[in-house]
Amino acid sequence: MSPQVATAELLANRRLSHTLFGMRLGMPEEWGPAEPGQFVSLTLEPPWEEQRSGEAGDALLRRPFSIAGIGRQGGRPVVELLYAPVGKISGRMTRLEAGASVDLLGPCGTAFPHRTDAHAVLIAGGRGIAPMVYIAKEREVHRRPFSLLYGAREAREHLPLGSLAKRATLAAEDGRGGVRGTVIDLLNHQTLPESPVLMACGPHGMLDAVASWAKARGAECWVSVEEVFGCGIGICGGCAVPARGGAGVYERFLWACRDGPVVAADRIDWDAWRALDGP
Amino acid sequence: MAHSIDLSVQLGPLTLRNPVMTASGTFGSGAEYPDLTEVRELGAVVTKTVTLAPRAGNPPPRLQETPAGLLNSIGLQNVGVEAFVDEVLPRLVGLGPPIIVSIGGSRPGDFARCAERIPDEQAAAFEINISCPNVESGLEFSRSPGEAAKVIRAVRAQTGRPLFAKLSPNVTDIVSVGRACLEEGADGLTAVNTFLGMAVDVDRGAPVLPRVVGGLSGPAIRPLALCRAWELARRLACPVIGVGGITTARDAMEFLMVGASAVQIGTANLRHPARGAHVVRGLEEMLARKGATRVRELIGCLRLPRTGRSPKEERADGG
Repeated sequence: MSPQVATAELLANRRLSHTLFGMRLGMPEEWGPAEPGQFVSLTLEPPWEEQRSGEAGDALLRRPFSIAGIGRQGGRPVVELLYAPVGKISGRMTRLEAGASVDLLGPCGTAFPHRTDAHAVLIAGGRGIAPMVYIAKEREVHRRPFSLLYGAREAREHLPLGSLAKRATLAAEDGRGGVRGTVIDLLNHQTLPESPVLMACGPHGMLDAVASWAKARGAECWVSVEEVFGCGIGICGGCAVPARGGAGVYERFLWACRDGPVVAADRIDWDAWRALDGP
Repeated sequence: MAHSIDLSVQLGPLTLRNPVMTASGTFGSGAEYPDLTEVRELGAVVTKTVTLAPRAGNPPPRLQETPAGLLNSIGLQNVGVEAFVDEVLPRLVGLGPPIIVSIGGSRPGDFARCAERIPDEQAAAFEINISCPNVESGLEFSRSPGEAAKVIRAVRAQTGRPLFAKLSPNVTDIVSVGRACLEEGADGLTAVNTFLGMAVDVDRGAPVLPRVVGGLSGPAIRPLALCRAWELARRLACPVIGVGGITTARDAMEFLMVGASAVQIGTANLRHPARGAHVVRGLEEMLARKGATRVRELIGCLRLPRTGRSPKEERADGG
């Protein structure tokens, strides 16, 4: 379905790890469905009409959050989000209490493929764990093979994984939990099943490394990419990512919100993207 | 009550059922919209700028949010006029509101050839984007009255459709550029495109945008844009389309009162798709509260403190 603007009711909001918070949002009955990899774009600004003389509030644009789960409660869909308070909106999100209204646009963007029979290697870096929790839970329920590789800078950032923990291998750069290192170290040292499908979400550098790991081994690989999003629905073209294999000049950049966020890793021109990160 | 309000406006030869349009680059192809009923409420849809050949656009990052504003460096990424006419325009026309096609180019002839490819019956009007700050030579046309005139002349020779020149605020004398466009047959002026701006990533010691400077839009520029719209409306007897940071009906009313005959909603669409529909409804309510029945009565009604006269009256006096 195409994304809808909806007013969600905050049902719960709490800290889950040193850096991650979890939020559950009650949606209007007809909202959804949404799939792992898709995102919602939210704002906490009051409606413009309620601001003084049209002044903008703190944050002009919405911010995208990957959906970490969909549930149901009291007959309506519930969207679960995982977020780190790193910016204007996410910082304010931590202070919201149950009952608050959240203006939300979604579900937006593409989803990870189902690949029901293949072994999915889910690779998460930092807050990139959000869609991976969603996929993992779905695969667990449907008894589809998967394993989860989950890295963070510090072990205390790791989200508690509950029942998923037995399928997960953790890495932390501080060496205080799991393997000392990154998810790339995990990829390099783990014995993976034949013909795995890699699905990754995390920082740009991590995705780049996962994509080149997959390419070197001929493995199918999907990544969830992020750039600064303007509209989140494919209107403004603000979230360009260098792309490969397009027919013409127009296809030199894909739009992360419209063509992604989940794209096949080989659609991205990693060299060009890396070069843009600059000095 | 609301049904008795007449929001229609006249922009030269073009009549619109209400004065609220989208600003170029902030409305997709229509396929993106969850609620087409909102789209149908718009007075007109201005397309993303189309150029003769497809354009890749600028490297990312292309956006940086700033206080109450948005810096962009999209760089006119578009499919080119051929694919636009085949694939995008028919879908836009099917939405309902009149379609104003925004055209761009790097030479006057490019603008004209672009306009030539667009079927007359599908474009209610053209907006001539002589003011994109994010492409090579983008601002050259709107920084000199002579260069602006060349573009308008070339397009005017190609089409009898209504033409609106979209002006840059990044000039010393916007009135002289606007006047040159009108003298070459533009039917009105869109004021304004984005303001040149930049942001620095202090950690990297580098500009945020790879092209260093971008165009600033959003509420931050509204007073600046309003001032340009007022100058143009006051000095030139022509339809002005006001644009810059408008998010509410009150904002739109500011532009109408200083003499703009219509407004465009841009950055606000990025937070709320087809935001203009809210502005249309808000204008109806405002008019009802004021006891006015026609929005035209309010265009240029601003009372200046010193003279107590409106821009309309000043113009009539040659003032």
